[in-house]
Amino acid sequence: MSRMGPATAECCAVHGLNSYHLFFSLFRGSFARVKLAIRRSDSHPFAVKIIRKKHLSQEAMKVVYDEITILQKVRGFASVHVFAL
Amino acid sequence: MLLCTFLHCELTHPFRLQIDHPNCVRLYDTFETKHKVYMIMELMSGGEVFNHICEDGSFSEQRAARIVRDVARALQGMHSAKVVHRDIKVSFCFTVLFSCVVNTLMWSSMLWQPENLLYASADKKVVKVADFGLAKMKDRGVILKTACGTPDYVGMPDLHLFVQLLDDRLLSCWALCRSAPLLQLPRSWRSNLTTKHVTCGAWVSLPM
Repeated sequence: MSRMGPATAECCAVHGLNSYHLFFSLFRGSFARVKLAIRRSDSHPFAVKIIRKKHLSQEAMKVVYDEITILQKVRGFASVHVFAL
Repeated sequence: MLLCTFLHCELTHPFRLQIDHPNCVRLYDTFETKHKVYMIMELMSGGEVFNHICEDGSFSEQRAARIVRDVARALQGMHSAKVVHRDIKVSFCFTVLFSCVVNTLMWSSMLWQPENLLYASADKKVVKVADFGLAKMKDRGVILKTACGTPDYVGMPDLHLFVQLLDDRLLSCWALCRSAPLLQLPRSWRSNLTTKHVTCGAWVSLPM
């Protein structure tokens, strides 16, 4: 427990993404797809929008970030985790 | 492997003006990896409003009114947080690429469009607005000029431009007025409606 810093943070973050079970696609678009996800701790269902960055330009990425910011603004706070940028 | 080089940062600013509106889809968590962005959102188990219109033929006035009320509430909430949705609509449709499109990039990503109004649960009581991909934050005095939306649901070309220049918030209300008659149209009428009818303003004169 004495070792704090990136390693500890990494564990938490990996745990964050792993705390959801991803299932089949509910909807598939050109860039994003929406999948059913179930939170492992309490088996609560969620919808996960997964956006592939591969084909997105800088401007399109800005649109994605704007959507996240707006969703946060309209409906409470959501934590944002960024891995391996 | 992907998660080896890890960087954690808060993109959010905790003191931003924000509201918690029950008629907007909620975002719980966001994860970003090297290749993908994950957005954990509320699951709308009730399905799309348009599917229910197709199944039931047409809605009763009461039911249609309830949907419009929910959407109007969501719009009010968004507008009070200075957010304009700009893509309120009820149907699943193809978007046609127009030559006069200002932002080609944005439009090409909208070829196959999902519905934006969803039922929150199977009992079909609450309608929520989803997909804020085209939404914008609007500050006082700033005019949004980007052409956007789904052709069937934006206003008549000239009026559309005029309204948008005035205020994008008006445009959202316009789209809502456009969507409202669809909820009550008999099935035979709906199939005869084309984009042409819509853009020439035929829907406005239809009895609500």
